[in-house]
Amino acid sequence: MKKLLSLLLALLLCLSAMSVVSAEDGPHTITFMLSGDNTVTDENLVLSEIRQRTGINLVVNYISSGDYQTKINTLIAANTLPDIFSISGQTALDLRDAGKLTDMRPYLEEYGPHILASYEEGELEELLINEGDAVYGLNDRSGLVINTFLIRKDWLEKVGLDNPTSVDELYEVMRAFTFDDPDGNGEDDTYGYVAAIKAPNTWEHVFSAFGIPFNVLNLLEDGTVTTYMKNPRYLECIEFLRTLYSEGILDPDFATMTQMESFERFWNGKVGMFNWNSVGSMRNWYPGRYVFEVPEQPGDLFARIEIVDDETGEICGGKKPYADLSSYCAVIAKSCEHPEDAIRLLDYLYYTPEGGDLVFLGVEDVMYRWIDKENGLYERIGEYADDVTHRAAGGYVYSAGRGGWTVDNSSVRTYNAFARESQQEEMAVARDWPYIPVILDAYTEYGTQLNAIEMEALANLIVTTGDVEAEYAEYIARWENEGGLQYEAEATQWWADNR
Amino acid sequence: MVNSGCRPKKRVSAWHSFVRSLHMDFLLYALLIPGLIYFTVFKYAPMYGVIIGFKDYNIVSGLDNANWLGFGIFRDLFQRAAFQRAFMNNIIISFLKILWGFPMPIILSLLINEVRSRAYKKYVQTTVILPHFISWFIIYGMLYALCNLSTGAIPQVLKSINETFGVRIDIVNYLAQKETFLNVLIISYLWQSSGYGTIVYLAAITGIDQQLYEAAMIDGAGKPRQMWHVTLPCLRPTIIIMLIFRVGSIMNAGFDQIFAMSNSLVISVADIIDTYVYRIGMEEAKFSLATAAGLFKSVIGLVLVLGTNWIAKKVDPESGIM
Amino acid sequence: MTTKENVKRRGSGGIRRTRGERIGNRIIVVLLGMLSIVMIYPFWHVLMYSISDGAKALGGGLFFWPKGFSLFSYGLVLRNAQIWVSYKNTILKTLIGTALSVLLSALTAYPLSIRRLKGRRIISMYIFFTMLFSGGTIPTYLLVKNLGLIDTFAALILPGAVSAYNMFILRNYMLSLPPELEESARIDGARATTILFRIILPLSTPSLAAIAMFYGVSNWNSYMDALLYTNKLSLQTLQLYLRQVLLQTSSSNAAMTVAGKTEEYVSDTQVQMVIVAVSVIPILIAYPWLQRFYTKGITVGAVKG
Repeated sequence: MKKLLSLLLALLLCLSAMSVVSAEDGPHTITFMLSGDNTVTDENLVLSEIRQRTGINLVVNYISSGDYQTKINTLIAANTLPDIFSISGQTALDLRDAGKLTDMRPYLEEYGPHILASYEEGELEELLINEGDAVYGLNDRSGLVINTFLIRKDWLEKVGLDNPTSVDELYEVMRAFTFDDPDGNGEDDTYGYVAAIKAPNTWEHVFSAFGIPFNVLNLLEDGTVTTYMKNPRYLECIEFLRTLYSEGILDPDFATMTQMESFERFWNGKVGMFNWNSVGSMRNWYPGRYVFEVPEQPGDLFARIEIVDDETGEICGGKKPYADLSSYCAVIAKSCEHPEDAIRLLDYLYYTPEGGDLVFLGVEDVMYRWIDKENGLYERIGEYADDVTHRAAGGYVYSAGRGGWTVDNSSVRTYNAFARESQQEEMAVARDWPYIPVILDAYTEYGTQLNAIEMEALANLIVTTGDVEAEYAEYIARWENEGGLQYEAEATQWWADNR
Repeated sequence: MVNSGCRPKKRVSAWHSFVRSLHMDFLLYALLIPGLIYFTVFKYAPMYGVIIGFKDYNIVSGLDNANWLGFGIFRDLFQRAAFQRAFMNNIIISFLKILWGFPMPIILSLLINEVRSRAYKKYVQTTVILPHFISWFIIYGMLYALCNLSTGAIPQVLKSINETFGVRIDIVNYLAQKETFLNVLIISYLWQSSGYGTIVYLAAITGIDQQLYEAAMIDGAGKPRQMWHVTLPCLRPTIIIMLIFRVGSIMNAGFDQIFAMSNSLVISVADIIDTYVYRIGMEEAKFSLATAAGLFKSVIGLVLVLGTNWIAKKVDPESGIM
Repeated sequence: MTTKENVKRRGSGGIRRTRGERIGNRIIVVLLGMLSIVMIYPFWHVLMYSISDGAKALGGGLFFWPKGFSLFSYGLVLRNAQIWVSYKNTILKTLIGTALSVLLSALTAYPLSIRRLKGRRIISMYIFFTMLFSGGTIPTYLLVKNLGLIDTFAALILPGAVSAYNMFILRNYMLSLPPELEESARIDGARATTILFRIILPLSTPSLAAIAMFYGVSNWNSYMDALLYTNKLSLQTLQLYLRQVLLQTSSSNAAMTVAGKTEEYVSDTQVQMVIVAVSVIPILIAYPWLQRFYTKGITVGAVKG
């Protein structure tokens, strides 16, 4: 027995001995908890380049995006914060109020000149997390992309129709894309429209064609700010979708297919129009994901659809993207021993072009080389042409794929022409909606449940064989009773007070 | 008559030395120490966490500073219509899963035990556990490949039947129909979990004293009667304990499966407590709500376990957990 | 044929069964054969899909054979050096963790299976209670942190070392062994540890194999402990690594190009399939080895004497 116990004890000792924490002198260590989904090796080229260029011993805790929230919540609860991390919403405000975040303001002038330069006057102060003059958080403005409604030009040619400009024409094209064999393979295997409940982007432009900003708050004529379900033209749009569904134009699997499957329909050439942001369809995934032959320039294959609303005469663009002022901000923990180093690091990596290129493209002349830096043309060199090797060495990894947090980051600078142009054109016709930059209590309390009701309603109203209006009224009642009325009241009040 | 007990019952011999027994029992208690330390440190020490369910907990300010809400969170939860719907679905789905899913591994084990060829037995044993290792997301992917209306195998077969025989069978996506969804849910559950469930029963069957079978044969029992009078009675303690465990987790209706398979068209029959709590808890770190829901599930589990254990004891004093 | 004669024939060595039994047996064999195909097909599907050509596989349907052939997706998962680090960690965790777990479970289960032991019901209840109630993620994390286990290998093993479920399965199995075994050994002067290691555990191999399987699989697949209790990539486990691969391919940042070959098609479905294959195949190799332990039944009587 004694033998056994001592064996067990020895085992435990061995286990804990395997975890020697080495203390280092010399350069300051900054721990940075970063979310991302790349397979990177522990020590790599980019990381050592960062350390060399900044003189800071950067230690990255790299957490996959699906688990980031769980991990950071646990660390907050245990009060063991990394030096730099990202945080959003009410938790961010609570952390600030509890005095657990560093005010960066005193350091910005000296250590964060590029950060200061990248923000417009007053822009930094608008962030919810920043109070008065104090700066607690820096936001990532690289994700501001608008969705475009793309159509395949070759299919249009095949069915002899023009790019649709009205709802009626849209319907005609969708019909033809379903029944007139637009891909010319002699089989009835295409759909006019693919939308998926699990991919809200896919509905955006059809709803927009009826004047409805999809899946966000809507401003009604009487000043009420409420769910898009209460938009007076909602049922009109549902009726349109019901027609598409019953005639077999809308892919009948819309309720079950995953977001990826909805994309795959497009890559596979099963559908000729798709609602997407330009980064996905025209940049990263072009041409690699397309199963059929695609021309070198995406502009030769796609065109943007611009529907004009009969009633108002306006062009029905995608939803206007707003920099979410309560969304993720990089913050520095109060427990960080060298906040000046942390700021210097952020300034270099995410607010300077060299830093952005380093985290996005990798080490210049080792991993990639510029062909035409002006126009964002580059090539990756040798083994780093291979994505897996490139990422294992740290390329792409520390940038969340965007290459900096500024509006003009590495990723944007390397856009292809079509992606760049369609972004600009769509932005010009973007559909505005009442964006509320604060966190409403009712949203925190009921938001996701209300959204689930909206999605349930959308799916069921499209397929139901019962009385559409009666069922619609039921869903509205449910939405209102499950906290919707409170949400609506708070949103309306805020809008009336502030806009 | 066939002897239906696993072993003859004998009284503990009377002559053992009291001193020696004390010495023995001391060692037995000592053996328990590492396990008890483990449960105390890793399971009981963190259990103060259940009070999160009664407090207005915020991860930043911590547990000590949170206000007591008493049963406020529970009241709030129970009042929500979506929770009530989830609760009902939870019970229906769990009940169906126990009804069909509990006997399946037992039947399967008895069948596998009848296979005489060792190689074949090994082959079957290995294959039946395979589905356990495939995540629900992938199983859903396969079901989707079978059921989806544009390329799915089932609709295509039905379509050709309709065309060849001039009949009109309704072609629907079974995953997106309220009426058929529960069937898909239960069948895929049986397929995924029955094989893995046989591991315990097969181990128990292996442990049955071969002399009992020999005795039964001498009494003239054929295979079916041996199964009924020897194997099943010997499995009884295992079956009872597995049933108690299963009943204790009755409120776990299978989060992973439903999370992967549910969609907006079937959510009204598929939403369970766990998926509901996950959904509303995701937005902000609503630990109080999640803890309250978990506690509610545990209490129901505890009551049912005590009930089952009590009944089990009435039937067979040797069985049960406590 | 009378049953007595039947037994006699058996006794003399010949295996003869009644006609009904033979037919019944054949039905069972066929039934299980069909069942095993139903069980095996999905895994076969996963394997075949994983080595298919990404673009050709997209059409879906049944995969009796691969559609086209490409190992590109395997390359995506396996070419990164990090996977070998994570494999090593997971294998160590599984081996050490399972050994420790089985040992602790056996030590706990044995005394609880001895009927005369005073207080065993209360102790059982004490342990069972942890199956229903738990403190939750945050208090457990705080505990692990206070024990100084964060970023240690021990954090991957200790917090889940004993499962009450597995312990009870083992205890129940030990309960089904004849109590006379323990009693007579004790009378002969054997110590409890001797009885446990020399008599009870050898007789419990089927159950030990079963719980070793359960522990092994849960160690292999466990995810949250590695996610929460470790930060260093040098302690990354296989499941964490695979999760990252999975999310990577389904995001807009997917790795798409391979050196010298820029237009290879990768679908996230296929990468999912590769991930299943990569994580399940080692278990499938280990399982038949564990099965050795449930060979045919044991004759308890023989041990008694």
